[in-house]
Parts: sequence; structure tokens; C-alpha cells
Amino acid sequence: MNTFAFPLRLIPRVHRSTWTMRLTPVVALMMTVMLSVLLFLIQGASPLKGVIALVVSPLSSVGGIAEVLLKASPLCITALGMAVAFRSNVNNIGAEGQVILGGIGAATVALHLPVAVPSYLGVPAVLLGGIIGGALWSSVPAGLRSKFSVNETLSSLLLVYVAIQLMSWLTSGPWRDPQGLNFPETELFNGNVTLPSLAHLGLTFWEGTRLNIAVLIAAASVAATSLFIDRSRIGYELIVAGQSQRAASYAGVSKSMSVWIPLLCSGGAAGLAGALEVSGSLGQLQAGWTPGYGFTAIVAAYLGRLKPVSIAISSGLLAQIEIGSLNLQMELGLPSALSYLIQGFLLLSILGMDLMVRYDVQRKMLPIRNVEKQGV
Amino acid sequence: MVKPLLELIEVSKRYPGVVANERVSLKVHPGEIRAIVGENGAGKSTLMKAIYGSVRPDEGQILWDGQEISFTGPQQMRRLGVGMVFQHFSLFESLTVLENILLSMPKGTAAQQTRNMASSVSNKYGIELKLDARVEALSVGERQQVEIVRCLLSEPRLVIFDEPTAVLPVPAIEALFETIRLLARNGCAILYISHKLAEIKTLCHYATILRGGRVVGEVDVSLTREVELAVLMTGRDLPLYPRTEKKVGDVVLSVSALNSVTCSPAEVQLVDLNFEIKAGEVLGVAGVSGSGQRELFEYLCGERLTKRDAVKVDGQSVGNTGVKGRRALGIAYIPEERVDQGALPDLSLGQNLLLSQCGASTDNFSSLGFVRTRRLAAETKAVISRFNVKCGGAESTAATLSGGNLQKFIVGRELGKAPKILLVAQPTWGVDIASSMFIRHQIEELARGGAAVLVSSEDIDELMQMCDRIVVMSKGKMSPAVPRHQMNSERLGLWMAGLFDVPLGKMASFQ
Repeated sequence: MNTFAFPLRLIPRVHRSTWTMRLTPVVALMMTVMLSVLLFLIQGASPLKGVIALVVSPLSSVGGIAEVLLKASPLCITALGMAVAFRSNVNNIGAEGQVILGGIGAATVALHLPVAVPSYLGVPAVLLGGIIGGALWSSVPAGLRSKFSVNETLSSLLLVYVAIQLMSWLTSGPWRDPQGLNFPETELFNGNVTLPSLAHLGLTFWEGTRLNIAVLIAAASVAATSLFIDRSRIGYELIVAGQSQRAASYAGVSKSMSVWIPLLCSGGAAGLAGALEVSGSLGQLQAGWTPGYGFTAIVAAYLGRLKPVSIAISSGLLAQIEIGSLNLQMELGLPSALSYLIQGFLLLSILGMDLMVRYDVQRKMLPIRNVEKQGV
Repeated sequence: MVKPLLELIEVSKRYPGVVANERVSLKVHPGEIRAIVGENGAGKSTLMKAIYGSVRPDEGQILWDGQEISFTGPQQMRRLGVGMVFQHFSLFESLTVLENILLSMPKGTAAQQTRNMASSVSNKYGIELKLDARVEALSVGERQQVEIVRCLLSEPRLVIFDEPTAVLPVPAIEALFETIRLLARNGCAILYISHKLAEIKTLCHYATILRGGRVVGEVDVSLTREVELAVLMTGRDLPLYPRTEKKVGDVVLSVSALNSVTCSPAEVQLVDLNFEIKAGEVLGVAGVSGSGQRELFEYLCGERLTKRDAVKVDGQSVGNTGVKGRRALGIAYIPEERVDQGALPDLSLGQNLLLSQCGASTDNFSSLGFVRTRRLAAETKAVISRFNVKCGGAESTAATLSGGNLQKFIVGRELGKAPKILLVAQPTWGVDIASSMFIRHQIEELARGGAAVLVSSEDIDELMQMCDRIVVMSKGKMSPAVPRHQMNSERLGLWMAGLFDVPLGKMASFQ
């Protein structure tokens, strides 16, 4: 018998105050900054310089802000799709693979579309290709779950590695650029299938930056997800299915629909993000492209408490940490892996604060001991 | 005078916006059965939680054996000898009965020993326990029996029963009362919470009456009439709903040769069910819970599908039509489980109203696939006021409502759809007297307006009051339907045991 007893226990709070709920992100941010300061001290760097490099410098120039937004957009779109799945209690954690398949889908269209096609048709076609690619990839776990009750957590995750191999094969085999000096990458896409930058569209404020229309698409996605999950009847049914199977059955929500729609949504969103990456800042498909958005998006979705607007903010924050830690690397010579640590701090602080808001932590009473030894 | 085992002195507990208990004083002596009565929201549950140690009172003292105890939680109270049988069960669905019992035993207790103890306790008190069945497969009634046995295993000195008979079958109620009397004779003090005055009259010695969180009376039950108790409890005379004549029309719902295919061994298999309900008629289903009522309702509301001809609505075969399709035909269903089936605790009342709308002819809450929030809020407010649901408005979550109020909301929601066929399981479980009478009256009114109603309940008095005809279910089989005046305790007893063909000896009427 296991005799170890954890000395604390959690009692759900009956009444949660709303202002503590609102305050938690702020406190969590402050905790993250404090922990980062500690980290800088351990690394022997000046904490003040570190915080400035991390927090202030990415936002101190138009170019910096553009880079943060450029990084945040696909992250946000992926996280929005994940939020739809998580709120339906469908654990799609394989968005990374769906992002890659989105890239592959986009590249399929981009490499085969004639140059003569105008870009107002070419770009949507490429993005559609990405959505279809991602959705196809997530339809595998959806089919397995609804037909054979295969756990989608596992199947979606394992498909990530299949996706990486698939991309590696395509870029080093059939799609390899003959003029590419043997690098495993495709040709650069034609101008009619690459995302126009905001500066190109006449927004002079963004002149000289790489920021493209991905940020507009991300903003539209926030609005669309918000409408879908909070206002539409299908979104409502998904939430019901996510909360209780018995209630869903009582309400008449179709079981297979409540698996397929969340997976297709999250797969499609991840695919769109991949397409934006490939046809935007990359301009080609490269074997070395490990977006990482698929996993960071899980963090972004939970940081944003699965609510669309909050997810947009949390994606921005995570993107800023990533850009900021690049600055750390350049200015203070700290390892870039710090960004993962700091993102981890942020998530842990938020989740920890949430726990404290939802539960009361009490000391456990000692377990009742038996007077006599009992036989087995 | 014997020293009181438990004494409460001016105990108060306030929640934001609500006073649950205000200066409540109470004495309980060993060997005494004391009823705690009051309407929903009178503060009974909070008071019991304070005694059980799961709620810390804001003010006041609690004495045990004459010694003041400082609040340290349920574990200490359990060790002192306070046991509680909760209204809402704290059982793990995916574990077996035995495993659930083991969890509450001291560490290191062997399974075999627990099994022996559990079966001896359950035998002693006449409870039939399926120790190896999974809890998810048990009916509400059976789950409660697990809770009772689990509580008795720790040999408590004070046992709190929170509405224990609400879901128990009639024979088991008598057996439970024997159990409680036996416990009391052995010197155990009993706190008994109930809405049912008749029960209190037969079982309890004293009654403490709560209203609005305060003690409004303490009476010797044998010297007090039921009516006086009711008036003390509600602070007013109970409304009387006269029973008027009604016309019975054509057959609306007919079930023929309904057999079920079981998906798990714990499910009850339905065997050749045949019955019909006419417009304006209320058919009652009596029987021990877990005799197939849940399965029957699932086949009728469309959660489970069967042969097309097994279920007919207005002569149309609908056995293989799903939930939304049947809703479109005018079927409304009030399930036995309110939380997590009939309503979702984390969603607002408005969102909960939407839960059972899809497909119904009255569903005008969406346009172009989006929810019309304003119309939904208006309808939610209408249900809240029509059924006098005590809550913080349409935006408050279902979790903030007491069990009785949530049931009123669910009943209001379903009746608001003006259904042609209403399926109701345990309509008034855990609901106070005034609200129960109101709910029953509303359902009768619906029938009078031409709807066919099927109601299952373990409270035979309720069925006798509401129904025109009554059937009894036992182990998945169904007795013939008889008009309610032909139902009597002997027939009910035989039929509940599955003996549908045994001739009756004497015809003792129920009323």
C-alpha cells in the first residue's frame, strides 16, 4: 500500500470573485518577469538590461512591432482552432503536423499555379490549399476517433512526425529546386502566390517591414472564431458536447459531428497558418522548416483561457517573448533557449494562479490510522 | 435529562448576497430522530454541512459531547462519529461499488474484509448491494444505497440523512425506516432532512423547522398535525389545486414489442414492452429505480434507436428517428439526472434553455445559424418568472441554483415548448412541497390541454395523485396498465417483484 500522503489538498471554492479572475493574468505576468530576472542573475547578466531587451526593445521600433505581429499571426490562428477543439473536449495536440501539411498544401498550389494567374486569385488559392492540407491531416484522427474510438490525443500527435518526414521527402525528392545548390527546399514561389506586404498595399506606416496581410487574416479569424463558438448554434452544440456527453445526447447533438467539426476547424486553422508562413515570410517550402507554432499554440490557447480575444493577446505576448529572447541572444549573449523557459514560466504562472483562484489550498489532516493491523 | 450529543449555539453562515443560516441553535440527544424541515433554500443543507464539517460557520459554537470543537473539516467530524448520507452522491462513476466503499475506508483495509463488512451491514439493514457493479450503471436509488452502507460502515454516533427517501422504492423506505429506528435504539442520534411530512410523522420524534435560514419552530412530532408542520414550514397555507374533469382523446404515443439491445452488462434489458397513451392522459410508471425506466425513456426520446414500428407517435412510426426528429414531433423529455444531463452547471440559464430546443417547433432562437440572444434571454426570463425560479437572473449559471429550483427551471423549459408528448422522470425529486405541488399541477394542466404524459416516479403517492393509469416496471418488464383506483399496495408489491400474473387476495385501496 502506498503510504505517502501529499500534505496539501485542494478544495474547490464555491464563490470565485470575478476581480481575482481578471487580475490573475497581470499577477502572472509580474511573476514571469520576476522569475526572468532571477534567470538573468543566474546567467550573470544585468537584470535591467535583460528585461529591457526582452520586453521593451521588441516594441521600441516599427520594425520590431512588425516582427512580433508577423510571428504572432500564424500562432494566433492556430491557437484559435485549438481553442475550438479544446472547448469541444477534443484534444487535438497535433497542430504542428497540420501546420506542416498546410505548408505542403500551399506549396502544392503555389508550385503548380501558372504565373499568369493574377495574385488576387493566386493568394486565396494558396491559402485554400493550406486549409485543405491541414484539414485533411486532422481528418485522420477524426475518422479514427468516430469510427474506431481511437484516442485523438495520441493519433494527432503521432501524425506530426509523419508530417515532418513527408515534408522532408517532398523537399529533398520530387519538389527539390534544381537550382537550389542541393539544399532540401523548393523553388522560390512566384510573386502572384506570395502574400502582399502591408507596405505594398499602401500602408506607409509599415514601410520597410516584412509585415504582410497575415495579420489582417488573423484579426478576421479572431472575429470569426468568436462568432462561431460564442454565437452560433453549432458552436453551442460543440460546447455542450465538450461539457457532458449525456447532456449532448439529451440535446440531440450528433456524436460524430462533435468530433469532426472541432478537428476540421483546428486542422484547417493550423493549415491556414502554415500556408501564411510558407507563402509569406518564407516564400518556399524548406525541409528545415519546423514551425513550432503547433505546440506553442497549445500554450497560447490556454493562456487565453480558450477565449478568442484573449488568445490574440496571449499570442502577441508569446511572440514578443520569442523576439525578445532573440534580442537577449544578440545583446547579452544569452542562449536563445531562454525563450522556451520564459514561455514556460508564463504558462505555469497563469495555470498556478488559476488553480489558486479556483481552489482553496488547505493542509491535509493526517490520515486515520488503524488501531490494529489488518490482515490481507 | 440526557446530555445532548450535539449542540449548536447561534450558528450563522453567510454567502455573498445570501444568509444561509442566521443564529441557528439546535440540540440533538443520543437515540433521538430529529427532522430538519424547510423549503428549498431554507438553509438545511448549509446547516448540515456545518455539522458535518464541510462548511465553516461564520459565527457560533458547535459542541460535541459538551465540548466545543474548533472547525477542522469533515475528517475530524467523521472521527468523532458524524456520518452523512448526502443528497448528491460523491461516488466515482467508473469504479465499482466495492471500490467506492474501499476509498472511504481507512488505509490498508483489505478488499475482502470490506466486502464482508459491507455485505453484513447491507444484510442487517435489508439493502441489496451489487458490490461488483460499476456505479455508472446504477440507478439513482441504488447509488444512494451505496452511500448509506458506506456511511454506516464507520459506525457513526450521529447520522445525517439528506432526503434519503426521495428516490427509494416503497418497500425499501419501510426497510430504511427500520434501519434508522434500529440505529436510534442503539443510541445513535439521527438528523433527518425531508420534505415529506407523512414520513416525518411516522419516523421522527422531534422536528426543527427552518425558514429563510432561521429556526422558526421546534415541535414534538407526535403532538403536531401535518398541516401545522406545513404551515410552519412555508409560512403560509399550501395552495390547493382542484382536480377537474378532462377529456381523453386519441392515442398519441404507442409502444409495441419494444425490446432493447444492451450495450453493457449493467444495463437493464427491456423485454417486450407494450403500452399506449391517449391525448389528455397521464400514465405513471412505478417500480424500483433501475428496473428499466431510464432505458425506456431513452428509447422514447430518441437517444437510442430501435425498430421503426416499436414506437409510434400519432400513428407514425418513429423508432429510428433521432432526438431532434422526435422533438419536431412534439416530444419533450425531463430526465432524472438534472445536472450534466438536463442542464449543464457551468452554462448560464439562457444557454441551458437552448439545450433542448433544437428541432422543437417552438425553436425560434436562431437566425442563419446564429443564436438570437435577445429572444433567448426574454424566453429565459419568462420561464424564470412563470415557474418562480429563485436565481440571480437569466445570466446566472445553473450551478448556482438549488436542486429544486433547477428542476423548476427544467420543467418550465420543457412545458414552454407546449409539447404533445411529455416524458418526465422523477418530477419532484428533492423539490419542496409547495413547488412539487406546483410542478405536478402544471404537468396535469398540460395533460388537460390534450398532451400525453408519461411520468416515472418512485413516490407512489405522487403517481396516485398525478396519473390516470399506472404501470409497474420490474427487471425490464412492464405490468399491464391499470386505472389508478385499481392500484393498491398489495398489487404494487407483487408487480414490483415482477409477479404480474399472481391473483390478488384482498383489494385494499390506497386511498
